Amino acid sequence: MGIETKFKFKSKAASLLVGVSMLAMSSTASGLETLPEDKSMSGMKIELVGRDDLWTYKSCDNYNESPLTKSYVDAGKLPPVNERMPKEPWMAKTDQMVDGIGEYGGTFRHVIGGRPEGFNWLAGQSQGWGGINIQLMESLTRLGPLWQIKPDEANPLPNLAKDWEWSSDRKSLTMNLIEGARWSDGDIFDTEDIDFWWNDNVQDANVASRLPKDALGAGTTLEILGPYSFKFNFDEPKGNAVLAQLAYMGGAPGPSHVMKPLHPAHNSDATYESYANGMPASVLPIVTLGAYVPVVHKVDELMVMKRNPYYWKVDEECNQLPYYNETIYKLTSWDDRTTQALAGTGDFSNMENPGNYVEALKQNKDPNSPVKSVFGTRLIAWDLMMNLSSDFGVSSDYERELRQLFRNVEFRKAISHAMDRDTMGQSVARGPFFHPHAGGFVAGSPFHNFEDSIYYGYNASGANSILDGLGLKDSDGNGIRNLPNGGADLVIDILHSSTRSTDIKLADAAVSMFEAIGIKPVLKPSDNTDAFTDNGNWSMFIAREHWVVATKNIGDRLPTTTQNPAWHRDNGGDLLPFEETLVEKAKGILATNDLSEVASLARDIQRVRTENVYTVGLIQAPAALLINKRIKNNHPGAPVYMYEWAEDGVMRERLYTPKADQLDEFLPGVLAEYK
Amino acid sequence: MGFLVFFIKRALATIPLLFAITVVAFTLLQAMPGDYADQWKNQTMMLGGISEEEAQIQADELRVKLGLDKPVYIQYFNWVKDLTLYWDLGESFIQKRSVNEVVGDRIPRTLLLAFICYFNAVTIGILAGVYAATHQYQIGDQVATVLTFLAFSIPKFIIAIFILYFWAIKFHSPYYGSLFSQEYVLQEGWWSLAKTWDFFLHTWPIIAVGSFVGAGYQMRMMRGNLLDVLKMQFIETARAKGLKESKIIWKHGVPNALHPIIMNQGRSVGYLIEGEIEVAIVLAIPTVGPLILSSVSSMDIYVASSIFMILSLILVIGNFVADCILALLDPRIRDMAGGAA
Repeated sequence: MGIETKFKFKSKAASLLVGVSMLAMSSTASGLETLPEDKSMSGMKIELVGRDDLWTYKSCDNYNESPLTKSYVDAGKLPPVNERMPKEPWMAKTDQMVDGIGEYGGTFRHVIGGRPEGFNWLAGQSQGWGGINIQLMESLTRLGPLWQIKPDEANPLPNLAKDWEWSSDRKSLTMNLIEGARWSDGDIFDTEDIDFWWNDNVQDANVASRLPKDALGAGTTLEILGPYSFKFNFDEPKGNAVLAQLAYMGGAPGPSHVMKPLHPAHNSDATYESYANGMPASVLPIVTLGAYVPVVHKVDELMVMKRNPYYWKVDEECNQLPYYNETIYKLTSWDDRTTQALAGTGDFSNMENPGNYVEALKQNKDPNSPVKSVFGTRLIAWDLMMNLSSDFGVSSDYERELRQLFRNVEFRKAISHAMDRDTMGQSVARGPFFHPHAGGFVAGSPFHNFEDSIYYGYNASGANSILDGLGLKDSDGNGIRNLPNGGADLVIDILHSSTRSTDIKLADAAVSMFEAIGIKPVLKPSDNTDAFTDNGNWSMFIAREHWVVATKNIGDRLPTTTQNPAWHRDNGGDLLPFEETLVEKAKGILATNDLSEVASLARDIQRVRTENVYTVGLIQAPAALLINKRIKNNHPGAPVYMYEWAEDGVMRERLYTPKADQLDEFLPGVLAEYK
Repeated sequence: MGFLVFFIKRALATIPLLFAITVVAFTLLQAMPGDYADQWKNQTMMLGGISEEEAQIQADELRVKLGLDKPVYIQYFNWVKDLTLYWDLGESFIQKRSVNEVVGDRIPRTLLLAFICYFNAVTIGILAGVYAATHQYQIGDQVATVLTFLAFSIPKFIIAIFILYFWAIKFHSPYYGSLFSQEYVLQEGWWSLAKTWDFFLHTWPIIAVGSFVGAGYQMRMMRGNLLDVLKMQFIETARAKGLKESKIIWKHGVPNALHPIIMNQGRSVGYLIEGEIEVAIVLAIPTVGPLILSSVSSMDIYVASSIFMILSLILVIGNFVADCILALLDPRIRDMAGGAA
């Protein structure tokens, strides 16, 4: 009864205000205003560098090593360091190491919520995430440090592949591997490993490879040219998107000398099941190209990794990297990762839950706090999506009519005008964290310009006018608008996660904003929203949905595939005309190698997206990297996630702690030893 | 003879109960939308940065591999079959090892902590109850009563959040987020005194909250019972005979007031385990609590179902033991059981 009265009042008040609001609408509700610029939280200016400024490949006459590996050399258990290094190691440039050359020793503590399934990443097993996977799965190319590279040079960086060359027709790509790098057991890394990775894993439909069979294009073949050189041949011209797919996790070869004998194609006793579990989490040490080798796994509690004596990276003083002798992963929960970083019992956390931000700022002011949180640019955002498919998952005439409404850009504009983003932001966390979002690229994205984001900001009366204009009047006088011609009440389900606190707060905040425009929202919390989106059974959906890098996961953001965005999960669906434009521009991005063209197409996409309110952007916020103060060489401004997670973005192989502040190792004096 | 009949009937009655619990635990989990493969897909997309299309292919393969594409009743039947024939609780999808091992690592810790809480709760609660009853309406009684109501009214996880905030965030305690300090984590074999002390330094919040809340419950019962007993005729008689007050309380009052408390102990086992779970989740102490949460949220169904079943079994046994003690102490109970036979 109370609600009805409230709605009646709102409706009458709205109709009285129509005349006035129509005036206001002419400048805000339909005019193409752009998103106001945000204010940086850290005030930090990030100096971008060229792609050759971070590292190079260069040999030294003599190499230095950690006292730990030296003790193994002295004991005759390891060859001398000069014999362990590749011909031209990957060499970190000192100019970009903010604290300079590091000191050997100590331990680096991670806290994670994942658990290792096993170590056969070739067959899609996860080692527990949170940095372990990235640490073990050295890949042909690398994306993480790109956040530091000037946009016009931000193509994938070399790693195991030290350089490459495209044919003039871009139908073949020749890659050259770093020469003489070794696996952690001393075996040479060469094209035998590439051949095994590609032919026995990626191309074998029975292996759940991280890189799907046709990811580089159907018909792609591998040609081995020599021990350190190989070529991909494509059926049609390809661009640098291929190089991005050869970064973590797609382009990580495994140790063929260990895994090949376990593969069914090379062992008649093996099955695909036995192969997938060929490097179980319980049998250590494993063989890797990564900086650290897992040596102890206390199930459900701890993973201890010791330095890889054959690691193929050095600093400019020819010191073999990494600097830490050990890295550990405490196996607890994801929430606990941030708590332990704040407590000082963990060294690193990607803080993305705005509920924790105020406390993190307090800690920054406390000189005794063990941790420093660095808030980056605004890279995380939340959207309200509408199901734009006219029939996918539709089970009633009402829903069919609702979908037509969603497909009308004027209706989407009205919803955008109804959202009071400032109130929403403050309901999540009080403070300067949030900025309105217009959908599409987030403010911190290198592909975002504020003048490209068309913004239909808060204007409830304007929203009401648009809805009136669409014939959505309250024809039965119950305070809720009806579908045109005396149709049903406008009651709309809003799906949201029941486990992510920010999503819950935003959905709660949206309720009164919908009521203010005469729409009755029904919140539909679920701990598995995919179950609804997979079969199209949803109307509106509030979720974290941000886009940072134009070339990454484009298929998740635009309908370039038959599965996405969620409303096109019925194999393509019925694209709206502006969606066709988006697809055309997205294909342009995928086809070009010209970064300025990528930037230009991304700007077009953002304008088309936001002008048509593809999704209703709600709020955007920065994430913060929490890192213990004793950790050095953490480059300021490293984002929690841009091209890759911060675990790769900060380039952990360069991190160190000065001798005086080093923590005792869990396993002092120990390195991985192989039978 | 009456007790034996009672015992057998009561024991037989637990079998269908346990069966029903397995059905409920398994089907309730399956009733939630989505499955482990969906969760796996989300996590892989989020943490691995691969596209939804790529992740979907792998998730579909995983679903078939784990048998999650089969109807729920077949999954249930297979689980129960392995459980009854081989005492095999299945495999954890996440940890890729036997659920027997996964749960076996954590249940003993939970039971150990719950037992410590229980011991403290009973000892402190009963002594405080005796004190409160014998000092009715005096300051000590009132303080105990206020503490008791606080223990009843503040949810345990709220107390745990306060402890978490001050212990971890404000004091930056090194004794946080694990069961042991670095030097003891990898140590196998018997616990030294130092290791035991280190264990208490890490787990004291669980013990403190569990003991505090449990003691409040025991204290209220003891106080009420003892007050009732102390008003009875035989106590008056004892006093009239000139017995010392302490002897009246400890020899005649307390033993008689303890009967209802003993009978209720079976039920308090569940209460203490539940308390341990709540606090451990908040403080990320690796006992059963966080495992329940993670296994349910990631739909690791065999782990979650097994924990529910084992905890239910413990509660059923607790109640069974309490009922047996009750029957032993009170002939009317076993006579009723016998009569029904």
